[in-house]
Amino acid sequence: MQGKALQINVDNYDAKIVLAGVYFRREMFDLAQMVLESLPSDKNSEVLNLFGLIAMGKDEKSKASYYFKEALKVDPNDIAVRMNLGILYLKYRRINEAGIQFERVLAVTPDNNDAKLHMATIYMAENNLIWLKVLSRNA
Amino acid sequence: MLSRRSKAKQIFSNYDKYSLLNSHSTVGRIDSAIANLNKLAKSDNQIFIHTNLAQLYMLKSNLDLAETHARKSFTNKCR
Repeated sequence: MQGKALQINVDNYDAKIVLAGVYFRREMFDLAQMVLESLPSDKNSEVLNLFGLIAMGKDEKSKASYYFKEALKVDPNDIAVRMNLGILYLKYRRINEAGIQFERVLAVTPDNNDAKLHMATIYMAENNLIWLKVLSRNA
Repeated sequence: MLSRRSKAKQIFSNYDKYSLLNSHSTVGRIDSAIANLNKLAKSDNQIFIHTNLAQLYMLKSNLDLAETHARKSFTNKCR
């Protein structure tokens, strides 16, 4: 007999990533982490990035740094991960390391205004007014 | 168009991938993709449609609809 059958796909990978993202945005960090942990072990950079963001939300800086670095091992060109790692460094005032990440982002996407803004913050922190002027002219 | 202040606020408060992708140039295309998928979902209630809708609503930061469609992606009826 042909008809509609109930298809239950509790392992829908993409839907779980969305759900974890929703919980993360709502700052329900433990729930977001639980959803991500139910994914298969071979995680892509997007999942590792989310793990990093959750750790960052929980103020677990070394864990966050670990996940962002793992994500970059999987995909060194993932701009979002590199931005997040830069922001993490910036948050903990590791200015030089943050600068390296934003410079790499700008090398791949020269028009990335978020990265430019963060570089400007770094130049301000370093009192590097010359570069700040160059950046503001090109923004 | 966003004011400088709200743009700065947006940049500083949303660091994750979804907000980075949610640039002005992609918003129009996301809206039209959502409209098309919603039409499709009425006649063909397949899981992948809800998964795609969940991802698109996430890009638009509509958390409620993203959650609704993500949940439908787990248990929806399919031909």
